[in-house]
Amino acid sequence: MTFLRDAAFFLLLSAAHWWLHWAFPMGGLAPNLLFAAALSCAVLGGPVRGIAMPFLFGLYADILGAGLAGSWALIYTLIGYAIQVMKRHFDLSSPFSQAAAGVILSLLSLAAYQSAYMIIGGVSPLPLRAMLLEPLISALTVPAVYAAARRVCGRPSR
Amino acid sequence: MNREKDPSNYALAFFAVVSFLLLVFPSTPLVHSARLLFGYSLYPVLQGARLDYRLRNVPDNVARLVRTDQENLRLGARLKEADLAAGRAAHLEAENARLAAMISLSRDGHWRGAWARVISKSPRDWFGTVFIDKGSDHGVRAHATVLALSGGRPVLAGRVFEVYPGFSKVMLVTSELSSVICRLKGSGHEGMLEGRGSRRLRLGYLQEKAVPQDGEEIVTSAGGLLFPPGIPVATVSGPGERDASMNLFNAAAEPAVEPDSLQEVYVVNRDFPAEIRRYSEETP
Repeated sequence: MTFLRDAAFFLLLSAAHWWLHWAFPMGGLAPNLLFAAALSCAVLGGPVRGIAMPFLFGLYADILGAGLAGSWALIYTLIGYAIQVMKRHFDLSSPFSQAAAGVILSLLSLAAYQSAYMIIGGVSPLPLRAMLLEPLISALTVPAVYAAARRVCGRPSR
Repeated sequence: MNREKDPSNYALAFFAVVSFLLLVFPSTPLVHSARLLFGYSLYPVLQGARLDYRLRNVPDNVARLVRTDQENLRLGARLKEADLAAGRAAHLEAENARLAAMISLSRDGHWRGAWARVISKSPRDWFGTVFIDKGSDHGVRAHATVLALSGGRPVLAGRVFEVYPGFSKVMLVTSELSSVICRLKGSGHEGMLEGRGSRRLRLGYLQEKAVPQDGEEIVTSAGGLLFPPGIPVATVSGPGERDASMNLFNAAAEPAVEPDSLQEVYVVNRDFPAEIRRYSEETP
């Protein structure tokens, strides 16, 4: 049942993310539902599920994006692992802590993606506007997606 | 729990290795190609900058496939336009041929008049009348002879029945109200060609000596006054029948021009004799 719920949540969020970016791009700054979903699943899931789901969301982001295949998958895997570590020290079940984690991890993920590209190709794939605004948008998005993930995937597991 | 045996460490190692493998191996072109082809099969309308954006980071062979399909779509649209243009050209060519024949008719100088287009027909009077786009403003007068081209020669189509400023009503020779004094071109015998409200005409009042032959041409007679003489009107299509009461013969005939194929007609401006002119002015 958990697997089916996770699969349903993955499909739902993937479709919603694609539709949101296709229909309402808002200058390339539509809410990054994949990031929010990866973070929420990492908070809700156990040690394996909490990393596998971010990896899958990262893989989907790679498929949708124009960058190197595997880059977002790696970054989201690291986010999942970071959440697993953070969960032991912080309570991530409150909206404020989720928003704070969203800001920090979004910024870190964008920086990692940007750095990797700068190192490999010497070009910057992300505009400064995205670097500055996406973490804030993600901070607002994560609590809402977390609430949805909790309804679909169930209670958090340690 | 022992940190070394934490399942999240194994999960991290596994998924990180998978991600690295994806990064190391040339999977990006495959992923982008699959995404492009999947998306393109769902929504194959990409043009200009959007197409270029979608084709970036995609291998050349896949890009060529998509560009070829785009070109194919464009060429298909142009082919449809070309088909339409060819259809229009064929129509114009046919019209040009008809008009060229008409111009030669005008140049012959036999008649003075004007060309007019058939603009309307009434389904209730299919073989009776048609409307043309010339009227009194263009010099058309009542009872004017209306000619049409059939086989490159002028034949009688009917006469102007009603005249309005911008258009006129033409009574066809096939109308039930139409009667034209004609003669058999071969024997010279005169008769009255009457419309029957169909493709069939009836040549009546033929004398006993007149033996109409199938296919014999019937032309307007000088005795008709309304129409210039010698204009083909119809051909004999059936044997003669005796009119028992008057000891006269009838013959079936077919009009020289199909009434349902009229598109352009030539309205002849003739100066009728004074008596006929007076009659024309009195009866519209």
